[in-house]
Amino acid sequence: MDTDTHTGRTSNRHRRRAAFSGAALTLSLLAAACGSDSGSSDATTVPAGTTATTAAAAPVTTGAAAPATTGAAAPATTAEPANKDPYKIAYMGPLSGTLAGLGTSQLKAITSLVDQTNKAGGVNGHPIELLSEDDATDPAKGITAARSLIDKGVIAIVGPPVSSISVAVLPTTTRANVSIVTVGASPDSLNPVQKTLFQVDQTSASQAVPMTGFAADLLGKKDFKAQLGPIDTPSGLAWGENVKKLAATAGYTVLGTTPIPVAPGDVTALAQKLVQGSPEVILVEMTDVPYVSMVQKLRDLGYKGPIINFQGGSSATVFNSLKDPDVYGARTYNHYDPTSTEPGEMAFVAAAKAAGTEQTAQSASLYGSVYGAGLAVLGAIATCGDTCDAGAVTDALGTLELDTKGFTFNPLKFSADSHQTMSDEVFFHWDGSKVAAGNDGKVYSGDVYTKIG
Amino acid sequence: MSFQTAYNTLVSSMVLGVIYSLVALGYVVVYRASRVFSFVQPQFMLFGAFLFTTLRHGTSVVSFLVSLLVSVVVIGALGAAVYILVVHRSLGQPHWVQMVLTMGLGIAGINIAQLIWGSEFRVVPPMLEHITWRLPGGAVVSRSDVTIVIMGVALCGALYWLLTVSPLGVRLRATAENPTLASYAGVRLGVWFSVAWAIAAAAAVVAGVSYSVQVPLDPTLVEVGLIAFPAAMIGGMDSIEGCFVGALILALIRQFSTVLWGAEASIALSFGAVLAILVFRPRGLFGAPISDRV
Repeated sequence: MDTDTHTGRTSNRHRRRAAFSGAALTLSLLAAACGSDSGSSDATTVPAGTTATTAAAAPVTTGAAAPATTGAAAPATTAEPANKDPYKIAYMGPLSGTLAGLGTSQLKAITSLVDQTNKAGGVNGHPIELLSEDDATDPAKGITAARSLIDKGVIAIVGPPVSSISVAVLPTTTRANVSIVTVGASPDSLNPVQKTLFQVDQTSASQAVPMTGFAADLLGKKDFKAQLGPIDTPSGLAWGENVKKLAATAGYTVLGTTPIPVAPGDVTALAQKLVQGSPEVILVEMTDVPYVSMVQKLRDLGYKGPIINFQGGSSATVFNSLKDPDVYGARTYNHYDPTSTEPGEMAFVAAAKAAGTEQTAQSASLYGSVYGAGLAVLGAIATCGDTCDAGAVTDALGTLELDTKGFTFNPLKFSADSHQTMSDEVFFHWDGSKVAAGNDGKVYSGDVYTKIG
Repeated sequence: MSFQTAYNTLVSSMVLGVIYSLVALGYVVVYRASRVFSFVQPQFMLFGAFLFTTLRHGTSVVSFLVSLLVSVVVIGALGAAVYILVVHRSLGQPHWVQMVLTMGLGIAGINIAQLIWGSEFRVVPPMLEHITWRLPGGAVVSRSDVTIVIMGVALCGALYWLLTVSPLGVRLRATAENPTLASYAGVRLGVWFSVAWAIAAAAAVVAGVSYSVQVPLDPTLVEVGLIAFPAAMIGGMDSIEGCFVGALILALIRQFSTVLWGAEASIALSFGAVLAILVFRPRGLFGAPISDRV
């Protein structure tokens, strides 16, 4: 399998290396975001705009005003250019086939973070080398890809974004003690916790509680009638089952369930199923592209109620295209917002601008999720010491707590009981003039460890 | 299934059928002229739709039509170029060689499109402001749907005339039926074959733009092009009118089976229909009898 297939803007090769320095990184990114120059200060070891702690170690902080402190497990770096051997990490996902768009956008996200990190000095004085492999959404190819990456010495893998692939490659990566930090683990693989599997972002399945909770708040009653359109993946179908299980205790009625393929093409017939029974709300899990056409078809068919989507289809492009105030999408991170003054969000925007991927950052919902997964990996590397290997990264991930400073709605945090993070959601919509948080920005929570029914 | 749902499904099938027929027409035109199964047809659709979005500025009708026209011409020329530069060089080889060539071109085409236009989706605004009408009986149809049906039927009609009645069509048919005799009569095979490829690519552009008005444009558009292939098989690979009927049958199968049993059933049933046709009537519903001259 070729490892040099990614389409990063700045290079045709997957290997990226450069120098890194923590505080310089933070300051330079803030400066880039603010459009002003900045000086450097003492070093930090975690990605821009973040604060990382481990359970056993003192906090490692970044930020323009924050002094750099490190604990035993998180040695500080200096602002000198990175000249040590690179830390190898990898992105694995669908870079060809039907989901190539998903994979390439995610690769751009992680590439932007690595470039940003390297430009400012690397982590602990080590540059980050990003490899990538194409799993083609095929479990067999995924296993081959994972083996290839392990052979090349990667210490952590970001991806794969499709749950069936992450489940397939897990035994291979577990044997090598290489952690998978993914946005697409299945609930069954996360609960009970597995040492080398970490989920950054919601799973499709675990959004039953937040989505139905938001629907009840939106409609102002608990006994509403809903139609469900789960994405046709194991996790998506599990979400549909979870919503139905919740109905018994929450008081709403599920009129029907219409599984929706990941890439459904024409959605007219599916839309007709979703309007049957005159629902008061339609809850769907659709990616950005079909969601736009689905909303249009539902409106064409005369459905006037709210439509609520999961976090996988809530990009700015969706809302800006539809301009429909009753169309909502969950977000687990603050999407591309150049006006934000939150350090973590400013760093995210700066990275996308530097990489020339602003458009992708706005149109691909899971772009930022993978950026978040990258933050978690780099945060773990920062805390695991100078001689960081795969096992040390896995241990560091297991106790990670990373303040993203406004990029996400909660810190990135893993524990012995929970390997899912970034699971707090805010529902956004078009407020008549711009994309804005609905229901006054109320945060809704739920993860795979939340008991349903 | 309620009457209302069935009625709406019927109407949406008509719209989808027209789009399928435009793609399938490309398969048929190329096959009629050069006996090649061209699996690069979906890529012409994709390139045409992306080029259209690149050219189109503003939301005026003029901008829409000019961008569509330029896209049709450019991609039509690309179709001819693909034939002349690649496929023509394999003339005389077994047909499977040309078929594999087009498959290879197709795979490369998707990646080339991603390199040029990226993998982000694009929302294609319709030619006219989006409004819907309720038909007698309650089915809902949008202005885009009506425009697609009118434009598609008109284009299919024009192509039918062009390919079967006009002097061009006669030459193309003569070339396809007996290339050796046609070349002895002074017909330049390469020219007429490339004209057929250009027509096929041009039809694909109209299909691609029509579909992209309904569903945001991204590289998965090529799947629609492949799904339309069974339409040509059902109608008959060498029948213009057959591909129109085949496309409507395919759209009806897909839409009704989706409503009744879900999206996965629709794919299985579509290809099940092709399987049945291949077993019981290999030439398709309207195809010419298959005969080997000895």
